[in-house]
Amino acid sequence: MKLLTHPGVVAVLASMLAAAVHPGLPFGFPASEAGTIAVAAVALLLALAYVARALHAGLAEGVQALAAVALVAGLAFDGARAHRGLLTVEIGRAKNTFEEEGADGRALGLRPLGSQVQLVRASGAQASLALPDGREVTVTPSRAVRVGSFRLGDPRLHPSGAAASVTVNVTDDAGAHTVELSDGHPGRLGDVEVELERYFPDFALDERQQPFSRSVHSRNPAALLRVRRGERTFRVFVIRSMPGLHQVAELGKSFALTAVEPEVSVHLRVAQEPFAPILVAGALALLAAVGLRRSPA
Amino acid sequence: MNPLPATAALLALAAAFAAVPRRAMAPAPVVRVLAVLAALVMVPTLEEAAAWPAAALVTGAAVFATPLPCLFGAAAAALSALAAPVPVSHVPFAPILAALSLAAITASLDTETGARLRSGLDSGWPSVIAGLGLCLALALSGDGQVLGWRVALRSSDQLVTLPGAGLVAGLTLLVTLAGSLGLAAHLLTRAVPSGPVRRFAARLLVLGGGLAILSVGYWLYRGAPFAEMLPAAAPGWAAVLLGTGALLASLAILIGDPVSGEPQPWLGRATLEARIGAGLAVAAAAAAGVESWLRAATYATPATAAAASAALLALAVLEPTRWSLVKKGLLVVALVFVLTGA
Repeated sequence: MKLLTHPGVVAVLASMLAAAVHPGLPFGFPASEAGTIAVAAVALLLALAYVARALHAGLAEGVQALAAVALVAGLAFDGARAHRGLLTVEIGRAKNTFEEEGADGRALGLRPLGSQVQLVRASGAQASLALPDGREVTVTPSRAVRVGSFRLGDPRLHPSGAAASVTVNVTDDAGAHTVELSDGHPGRLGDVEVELERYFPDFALDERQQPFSRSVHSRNPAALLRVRRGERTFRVFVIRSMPGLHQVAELGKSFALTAVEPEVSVHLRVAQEPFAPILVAGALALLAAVGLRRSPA
Repeated sequence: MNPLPATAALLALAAAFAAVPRRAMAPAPVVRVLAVLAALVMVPTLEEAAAWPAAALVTGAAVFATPLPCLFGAAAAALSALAAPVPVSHVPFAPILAALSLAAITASLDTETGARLRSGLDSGWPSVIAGLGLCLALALSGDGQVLGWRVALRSSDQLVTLPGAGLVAGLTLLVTLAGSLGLAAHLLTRAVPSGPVRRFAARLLVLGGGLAILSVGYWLYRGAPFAEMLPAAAPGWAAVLLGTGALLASLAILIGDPVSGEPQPWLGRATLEARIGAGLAVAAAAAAGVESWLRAATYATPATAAAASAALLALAVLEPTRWSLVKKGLLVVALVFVLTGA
């Protein structure tokens, strides 16, 4: 026990733990299960060293030991009881589960969120959620929100690769008309019905001259439209970068893709950390211990 | 380039050089005046996110008024001057506390080095460490381009090679490395008479210091027309600026008159500065945890882990053991990671 409280041993244990938890080092926590056990063992030894030292020393050492025990206990309990993961939700959709992740980032499957949240809108870097009690909360990069016993924060907007809506300009002898289309919601212009068949956010042709999308980002949007007049159906391909190209002689109309509103999904970090207040108390106690300390460095 | 942080960087650099060689424990009034001016110049820039840690570091330099905090303050202000403008959305408490901790720990490192020099440490060691630090900064900046005699600015879709900058930076690296290794060889083989090696190595280091100034200035001169590409290269350049400043400050110790006096008061002061720095590092870790919990919903983020790592090293620094300077050096690296990762 005397060896454990030696300043050199305490300094080595603290330095080892510092290296283990540092995110920039390759052996940083939590790399693996064995690594987690090793880190926990070093943390326990360090806390034990502070407790043993406090048995024969003054107030500062006592407070430091208390702080170390609170921090190790808080992290251990949260290691066993905390739930963290990712909630992915599209605009207009509701979710009541999230994808739970282990300490090493491994997916653990779906976990109930305890209540249903619906993504009402998302813009810039913030997302507005409707809760079952009728409240609407906004999550921003600088503010997480509480939903039941979970906290939701760090919103990240990702294009899903689909289009929430596309705007097509149809020109004929009578003039130009605009029609807005979305999946399952065709548009009508007189006796012509226009429907969105496929959308390519980043259009390109493969070696067999077949259209495909290089990415989910709307860099070169294009769409395949199904146009019906009576019994006849035409397939019209429109590319936003080539507005005057798409004419259908039989219909006497030309089509141009003028605007696209990409469909976005929002990824939200979800966490339930019941022992976080103990960690805050431990950190404050550690701060007090450093202030009270009288021994020379 | 933002002129206010650039002015603050120049003022902090002037404060650092006014502070060496440090013969008395109390700083010369001019050092504190220059550092306070640098801190005041940073105030109008606080609407930008990168300016907060730099302003905190320069303020810390004004409090401690020793060479190393001033040099770190100058590097942080230079980084802020070159960084892309990002409006601040909230006051970043954890990086501010980490910056203040960095100022205190570097001041403690300075003061303890002064104590060691007074108790017989060879005046060549600071130059060896600073020279090797500059070589490391040169070698790592720009993904090791200098090792291929090239300095280039990069953006997502562009690569601009700065003509001649690679040659100057490469020469600086070679000359400084030769000087540092020569001096280290002399210091590690005290039983073997190697006075000429020491003199030659010292001259190489002086030449390396001159080339480093030229390299820093030439990079800035050649890079200035590509202002939109400077932010990406700024961390590497700031590290080289810091290494250059540290080498020049250490050369003042190497070729200046030997310091004398009792080391005990210096050790006492270094202990106090280390305690302040350690307390601030622990506070920075607590603040990082709370900020992450409030903003990202969880305290388990890389920012909290980096700050916790620095706090643990701070606890190691507080233990009265050997290798105190090494522990403080590691803590400085950990705190720099907290600030640059922020």
